[in-house]
Formats: sequence, C-alpha cells, structure tokens
Amino acid sequence: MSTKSPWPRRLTWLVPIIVYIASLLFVFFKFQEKQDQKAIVIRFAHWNLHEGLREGYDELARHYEELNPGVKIKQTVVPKRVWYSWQQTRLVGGDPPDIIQLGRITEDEVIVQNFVPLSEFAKEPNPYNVDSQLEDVAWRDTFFDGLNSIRVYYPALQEIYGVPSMMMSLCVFYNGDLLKAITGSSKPPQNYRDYLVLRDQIDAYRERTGRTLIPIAGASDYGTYLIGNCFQILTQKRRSQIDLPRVLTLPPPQVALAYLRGDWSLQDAEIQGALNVFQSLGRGMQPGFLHLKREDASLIFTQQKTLAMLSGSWDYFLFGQECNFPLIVGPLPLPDPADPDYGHFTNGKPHEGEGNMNGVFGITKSSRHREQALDFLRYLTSHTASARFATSTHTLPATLEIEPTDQNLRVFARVEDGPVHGFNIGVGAESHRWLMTNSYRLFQPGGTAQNFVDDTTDAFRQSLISDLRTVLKDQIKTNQRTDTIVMAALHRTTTQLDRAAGLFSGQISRELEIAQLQHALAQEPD
Amino acid sequence: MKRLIVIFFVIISSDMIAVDEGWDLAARHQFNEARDVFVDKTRNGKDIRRDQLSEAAILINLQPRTPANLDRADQLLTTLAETTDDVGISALYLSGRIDQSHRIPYRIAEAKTHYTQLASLDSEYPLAQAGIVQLALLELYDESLPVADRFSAAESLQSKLTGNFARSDYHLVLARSYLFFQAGDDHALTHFLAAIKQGITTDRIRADALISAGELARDLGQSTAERQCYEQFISENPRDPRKPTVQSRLEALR
Repeated sequence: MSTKSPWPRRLTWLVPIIVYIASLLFVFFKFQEKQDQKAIVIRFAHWNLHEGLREGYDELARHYEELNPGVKIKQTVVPKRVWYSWQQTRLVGGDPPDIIQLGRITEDEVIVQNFVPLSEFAKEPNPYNVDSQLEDVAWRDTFFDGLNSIRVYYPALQEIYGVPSMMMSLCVFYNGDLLKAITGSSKPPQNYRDYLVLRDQIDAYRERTGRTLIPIAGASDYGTYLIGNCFQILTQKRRSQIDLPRVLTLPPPQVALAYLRGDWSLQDAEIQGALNVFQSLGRGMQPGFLHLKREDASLIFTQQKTLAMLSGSWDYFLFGQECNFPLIVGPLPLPDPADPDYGHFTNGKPHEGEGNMNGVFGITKSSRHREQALDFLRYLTSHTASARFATSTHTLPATLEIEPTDQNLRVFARVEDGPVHGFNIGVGAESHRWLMTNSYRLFQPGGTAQNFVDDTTDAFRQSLISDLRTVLKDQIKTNQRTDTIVMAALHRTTTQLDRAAGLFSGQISRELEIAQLQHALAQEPD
Repeated sequence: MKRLIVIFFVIISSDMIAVDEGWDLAARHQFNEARDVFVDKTRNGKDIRRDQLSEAAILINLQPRTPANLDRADQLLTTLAETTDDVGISALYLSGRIDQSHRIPYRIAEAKTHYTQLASLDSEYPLAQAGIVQLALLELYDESLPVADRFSAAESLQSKLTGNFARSDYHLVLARSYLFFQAGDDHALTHFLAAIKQGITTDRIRADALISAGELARDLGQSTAERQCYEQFISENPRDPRKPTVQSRLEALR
C-alpha cells in the first residue's frame, strides 16, 4: 500500500519562508506589546454592537490618544447576550477593564464593590469643555439627564456611578418610495389618526397593485416599548387622580398600591383605550411580532416587504447603510389631544424625562489608572467629542448644546417641554410578564381589549402583589445594610455627619415605603 | 523618651488607620472583609467599647446571615447601651434596628422600647434623634391603634427633636403618612413646609418634597406657598422632567 504525501514535493521550499514570516510577525507583535506596556492602557468594554458605534468610539479613542501621548485606549465589544456572564466573570476574577458599560447590573452591592463613585467629580467642570458653551458648567449639568437617570445615579447608594455617551429615542422608519407611492406624499403619520388614514391607504394600494405589503415591521422588545408608550400617553390625566403622594411622576410601586386601593382598574376607559391603540398598531405588524427578534424585523423592512419599521435612533445608521430606498423618520403614531376617541385622556407628547440614556460608562475600582480613565470619560462626554460622535454615528448626544447635523435626527430630538407622562401598568418583572404573555389575546381572531382584561384581571392582581413583595424584600435588604453604613459614617476617626444624614434620609424614606407596602399587603390573602 | 513618644503615636495612628479601613470596607458592603480588619484590631484592645460596637455593626450584615450573629450583636449592644455616651446611644439605636428590621419575625414592641429609651435621653446625638424618627414611624403604622391615635402619638414626639439631624426626616415621615392615610392634606402641607424650612439634604428627596408641597398648596388654595415651592423647585432642578408642568402651574398663578 502506498501513502501519498498531502504536500507536493515541489512546495516544501515554502516551509522555511512561512516560518521566517511567522517569526518576523512574532517579533513585531512582541515589540508592539512592549511598547504598549510602556504606555498607559485604558481598556473600555461595552455591548453596543449596533452598526457605526464601534467605529465612532474608536475614532474618539484615537483622537484622545493624539491629545494624550503615552496613553492607549483599547475597546472591547461583547455581544449583549453573553455580556452579563462575561462581566461577572471579569469582576469576580478581579481583572475587569478600566471602564465598563453600566446597565446590566441590578444589584447595588455589585456596583458599590466594583465601581468608583463619580458624584464628587460631577460637581466640577469638565476640563475638556474649555472654549465651548459648557465651559465652567459642572460636569453633571452638561448632560440632558443631569446625571439623574437610571444606570447613572443609584438612589439607595446616593452616588453617581456612570456617565452617558448618547441617548436613544423610539421612532418609526418609513420606506420613502413606498410612502410616496401609497400616500402621494413623503410626510409620515404624525399621530394615531394619521396612521389610521395611512392604513386605509395601504389597503387601497394592495388592492390596486396586488402587492402583499405589511404596514409596519415589529419585534418583541420594540413591542414592549410601544405598549409602554400607549399606557404612558393615555393615562396622563388618570395619573393626576391616583397621585396620592403628589409627586407628579408616580414611581411604579405607588402605581401598584393605587391599584390595590382600588384607585384605578383594568376596566378604566384609559387602560382599555391604551390596549385598543396597541391592538390597532400591532395588527398592522407581521403575525407573531411579539416573539420575533429585531433582526427578523430589519430584514423584511430592508427587503421592502413592509412600509415601515418600529425601532429607534440606534438603527438609523444601519438603515442608512443598508436600505436602497430613501429613509424617512416619523414619530410613534400615538393619540394626541385632538384625537376624537382618545384625545381627552392625554395632555400631549410627554417630557421624555431622564430615561433613554445609553452608552453609560463607569470606572472599575480595580483599574490601575483611575485618573486616566476618568480623564477619558471626561473627554468622551465633552462638547467637542460628543458632537463628533453624534455626527459620525448618527446618534443623539447625551451632552447639551449640540445641534444634530443630520436633518432626520431632529425627529429624534427629545421632547423637553412636554407635560409629565402617565403610568405604565407593568410595574415590575411579574406584571410586565403578565402583560407580554397575554398580549397575544389582543391579536387572536375576535380578540378585544375587554376580553383580554376580563380573562386576566385576577392574574394581573397577583402579578402586582408579587412585584410589590419583591420591592419590599429589596428595600428591607437595602435598609439592613444601610444600618452598618450609617454606623461607619458616624464612627470613623473623622465623623462624616453629612453623609450619615444623607444615608439616614434615604433609609427612613425607604422605611416609610416598607411600612406602606406592609400595610397594603397585609390586606391581601397570601 | 522621644523614641517612646514616636512609638506611641505610631501605634495610635495605625489603630486609627485600621478603624477607617474597616469602616471603608463596610461602606463598600464588604462586611466579611471588614470583620477581619476589626478582629485583628480588637486583639490590640485599646478602645474596647468602640471595638465591640464595630463588631456588632458588622455582625448584623455578616454573610451568611444567621440568628446566632444577631444574638451575639444584641448581647454586645445590650452591654454597651448601659452607658449613655455616643457609643451607648449608637448601641441602643442599633438594638432598635435589629428588632425593627433584622429579626424575623420583627419585634416591633421591643424596637419601640429601645427608641422610647433613646427619646427619654434628651440627647442631640444624631442616632438619638434618628431613633425618635423611627419611633414616630412605628407609631404611625401600628395597626392595633386607630389612625387618629397614631398621629397623636407621632406628633407628640416632635418636642423630643432637639437637634438638627433627622428633624426634616421626621416632618417628611409625618407629611407622607398624612397623605397615605388620607388623614388631612393641611397637616401634610404643614409638615412638608416644615421639612423644607429645616433643610432637606438629599437632592431627590428635597425635589419630591417641593413638588408635593406645591401640589398640596395648589389644592388648598395657598398660592404664596405654592409659588415659593415651585420657584425653588425650578431653580434647583433645571433638568427635571416635571419642570414644564411646574412652569405652567407658575404661569397660571401670574
């Protein structure tokens, strides 16, 4: 039996050349590594895989390196689905990057043990804002959210731990060619009534052309955002009737407490109205959209199988690259005060609040170059760098005083002069699950908001009770820990009286909520 | 002699560094690590009462949480509370917190006893004042009493608040409870205004208090108080999402 060599004899001369090139590369990379070791290396990690963002951050990193010779910025992008376990492994292993995106950590304990509080620095002006409109302004006041939003400020810890690098906004993307063919105009619907007119026009277009066209592509996450917005808009006036603590924006546990008191119910016209609007918009989406991923929706939109796609500012860059048709951006088509059916429930498009901040970065305690990491975050969120990032990535800046250069981006601009929003009936994990697992009932043949509510009211009440019990448990746990921390502030060698007072204020305010939750839950059967 | 003085100061300063290191770890929720630091320090045994207080404060949050740790903490605190210096007051307060929040089932009657004892000391020490606020809260949510009696009991504690620490918190507990039990918007407003006048140190809590007071004043037709609260809110919270609503309220007042 003969064995044939896989290498033809005439190619054996290639081996020493390959070895030679490999050794050259090895020496080159080793040399590079040594050079890098001499430099201060700041590693930052995030999960923003959306097109253009990695490049945008990279551009800023290179510019920062030019401004700061001897500093190297290395970016790591980890997919969202594995982010949590990746991050936990790095934090537990004691070797996390210097800067990490915040938002997937829910436990205050993990934050306080692993991240550097930024509150003190937030009071000082950002040195990178010299010669801009934001010169001499405290760093925290250079952001849209005043560094008060979730993932940025941690109320129980009374500390700022992150700074946002951009904002997100929900919208509907339209295929400009199709929109014009269907309506004769390039103006997208501005409200729910406009959308109903468009829906009729789409029906007529289908009949006229014989073309199967889905009005809007939707996906599960975005469906969640949409229903949330329906509730927030249509309960604006109802909110003022249930706002027992008179705070104008009701925290979720207060919404649940109001339900248990009987101050509102699923039978209320506002709640039924929100479900009707969601049903009407959802029926214009592809069947089963509540179980589909964003990629599924993007695909049918770019393939022109739908007129529009429900999404947000984060997809603008992608669609700009991938759609071979003009892109038109419109607002969520929700009822406004002029709406004949639902107008009397709403005060108009609400202030977009402190939410929607994204790309929020914090500095890890184990960073060997905390000062440099802080300096990079200051640069990243400066007026100049934010403007540059917004322009290159077509995203909304989280920093103030930056006008979008792209006209389409103006549609995404935050509503800052609107009234306060209403309330969402998904107040926690369980009630949210109740909402999303039962929403299919709205899209069944013959499904109505009334049937939906009649069939699921008992389960809804149970889900709210479960959510309140979770809040109660968390608040008790936080307060137990605070006892030791208050002692720490008072019994250090130098007493921190102001800190102790602040900690106690937070603790007694939670203790009050605990007492109120216990009072309400005591009336409920186990 | 000089050498002895230097050695003395080195020992003292290393002791102080260890105290702060332990408390720093505790403030970062690293209770088990803090315990190790305090255990090492206790071996030197210079200020045994403070060392025992720190041990008790750590024990209540030591992981895993056990009833034995709470018992040990309680035991230490009971002895410490026999003297009414700042350590003794802290011990009494912490005993109250253990009964109020750490024991399962809660021992509310025992917690009230500890806080009542604190109130009787007439001390301005922060935790003596904090204990009075905790007592007011326990009185307000004592389901065994009629609501009016609860408010009377809580209101009567106001005269015990002689220091500034926690005084605004007392008024906020009362104000929010009047709203929760729908027991009198006018009383709620009075307490909100008292809290604001006293000075609320936490930005978020102050912002909410200003809104609540403004809204209540609006409902009760007290336009001067309404205007003052809203104006203060806007000047302090330029980026708050409630600002446009508050602004429109102010415009309606003009």
